[in-house]
Amino acid sequence: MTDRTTADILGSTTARPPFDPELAPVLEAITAAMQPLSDETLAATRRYATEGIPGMAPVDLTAAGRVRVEERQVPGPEGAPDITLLILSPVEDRGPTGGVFHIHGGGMVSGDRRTGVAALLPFVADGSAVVVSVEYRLAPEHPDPAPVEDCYAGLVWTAKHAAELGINPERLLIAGGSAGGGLAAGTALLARDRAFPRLSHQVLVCPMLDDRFETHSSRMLDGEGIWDRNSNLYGWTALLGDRRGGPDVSPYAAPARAEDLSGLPRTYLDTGSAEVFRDEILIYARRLSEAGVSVDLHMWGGGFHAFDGMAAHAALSRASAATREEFIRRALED
Amino acid sequence: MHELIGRLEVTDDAAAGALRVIDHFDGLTEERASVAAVVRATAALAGCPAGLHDAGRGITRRYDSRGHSLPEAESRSWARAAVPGSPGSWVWLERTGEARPLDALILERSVRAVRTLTGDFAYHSAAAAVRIACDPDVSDADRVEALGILHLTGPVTVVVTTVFDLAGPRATRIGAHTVALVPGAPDPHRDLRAGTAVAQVPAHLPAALERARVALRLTDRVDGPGPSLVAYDDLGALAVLAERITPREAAATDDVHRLDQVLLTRPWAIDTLQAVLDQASLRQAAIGLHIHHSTLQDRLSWLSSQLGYAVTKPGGRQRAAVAVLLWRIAHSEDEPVGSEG
Repeated sequence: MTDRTTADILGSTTARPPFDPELAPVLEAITAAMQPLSDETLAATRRYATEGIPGMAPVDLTAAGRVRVEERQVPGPEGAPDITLLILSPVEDRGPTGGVFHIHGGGMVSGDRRTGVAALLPFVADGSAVVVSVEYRLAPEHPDPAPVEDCYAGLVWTAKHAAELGINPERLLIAGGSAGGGLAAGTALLARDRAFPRLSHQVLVCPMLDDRFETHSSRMLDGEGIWDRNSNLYGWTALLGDRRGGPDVSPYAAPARAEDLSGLPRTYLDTGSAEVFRDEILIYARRLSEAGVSVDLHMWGGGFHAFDGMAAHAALSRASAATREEFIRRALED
Repeated sequence: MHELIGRLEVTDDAAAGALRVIDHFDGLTEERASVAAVVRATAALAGCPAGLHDAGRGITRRYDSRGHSLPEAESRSWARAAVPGSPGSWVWLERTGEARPLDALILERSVRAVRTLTGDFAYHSAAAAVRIACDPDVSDADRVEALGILHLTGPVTVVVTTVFDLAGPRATRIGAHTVALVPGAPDPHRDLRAGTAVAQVPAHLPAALERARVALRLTDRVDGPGPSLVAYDDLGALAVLAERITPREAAATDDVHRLDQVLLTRPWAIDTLQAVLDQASLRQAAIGLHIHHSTLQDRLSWLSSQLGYAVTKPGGRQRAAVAVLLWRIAHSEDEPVGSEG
């Protein structure tokens, strides 16, 4: 951090929409259990992200035997260590399916290749997709460009081995939530600029796109909601250090900074109306559309960050999850 | 930060879990969330399906712990709690296996939240009393109290009709039908298409409602040749058919299928058969149908050529009677046409 204080950077707190009545009690429970992200709480946050809450049943990645679970060590970026890919494929082989290259969330600083991958299991279990989830190096130990370059290296390996993995190379999606959504957008930009591989869709679930804190929504949650502006500042600073907010940030790290968004794959974007990422997502959707990209955009009124994963039972969550699932299903079948 | 906390299920620290449950329902109440949201939260907190039955409003809601809506199901002996001040209203947990330590607390806070969010406006109307009186799941005391509100003592006739707006002080919608409770022996209007059944004692009301529904299946339209008013207690052996055979099964019968085919070009087919079956002579049947005797003869010979049997012959008569009965069952759940239903 520089000598500027958090308040200098973030300014005064802006107005926010109310949280959905059914979501509000969940939010209280989660904020009571989770500390805002800081150097002191990072270790605990990482433990939660990888091991889950104590007492929570672990997810059965084999979906009761319908999914083959493999791990592969594949080459990382040039001069960097190998990376681990988690590969989930249907046990029942019915020829090539769509592929989903998954990038986990966790604020750039936590989570592993298993985080959040359960949401994609149904597609594998019913034989409509192969999922590859990448274990990228985390900030602050490994700042930009390590995370996004690891993701890109994993994507390249996946595309080159599509036939072996049972993936139809014409149906290769990239997907991620939160920081994983930001990294997915950055990896898609890399794939476009390096002319390999060709992605058919990017599914960006409440993605983390902008390090600059200039939008209204980036300032509106202070000590409330999930992933407030302080946690967000911590995540971006961990990734970019002193470069955060300055002129030397690459669009692959913060895709909101990309000047040219043409030639990107068909895009799905969603956000809650009461989360810090809201405006950067709305702006990204508009700019992608202006650049001639086909975009599906969904803003869920009263939703906090990642609400449908954390409060799956709520009506708003059911609507959001079903809408996204339907899009992915169409993308895999196209 | 996806899925950092995927579930609210409480299995670790009991005291912290209890607080979380209490805070959760308090939060829903403060936010004026919907009753459905309370049921979903109940399921999510318990980690198993949960349901609400509200006899006064005639609604049932079931959700699994992920918030998926579940179809209404036969009530079983699940652990449940009564909504205070709302006779016949329950919240239950569909816990298979051993109960968890927080189950009782979850139920208690859930019914309190339902109570606060619905208030007591719904439970003192005549409509609510009719629903409670006919609900199979309420206690005898609640049923008798509901009948008291309706000033009903002694035998009660349940009248079920598809007419939407049935006049009467003791009528309400239950499912697809309007249900009215009438004191004593049946004396409903003749110009009504309805099924009826008598409950001699309060405890028989839910069964009487089912029987009146069965009787309704066998009715003809108000201006048709057959009876538009059918009393279950007059059906005898015919009730067995209407109770055991579903509309789908009836529609799949060859004779019913043939009647449907014939009706496409001869809309008078069912009325004609019904008149002949109900009247002592063909002459009387023709008068009832307002047609000439020779026209009736023409119709009957055409029908026997199409159906493969003759309604005027002994064996054919029985076959036609059953076929028309099954045809009514097959079409008993069709969309009602016009106000008459």
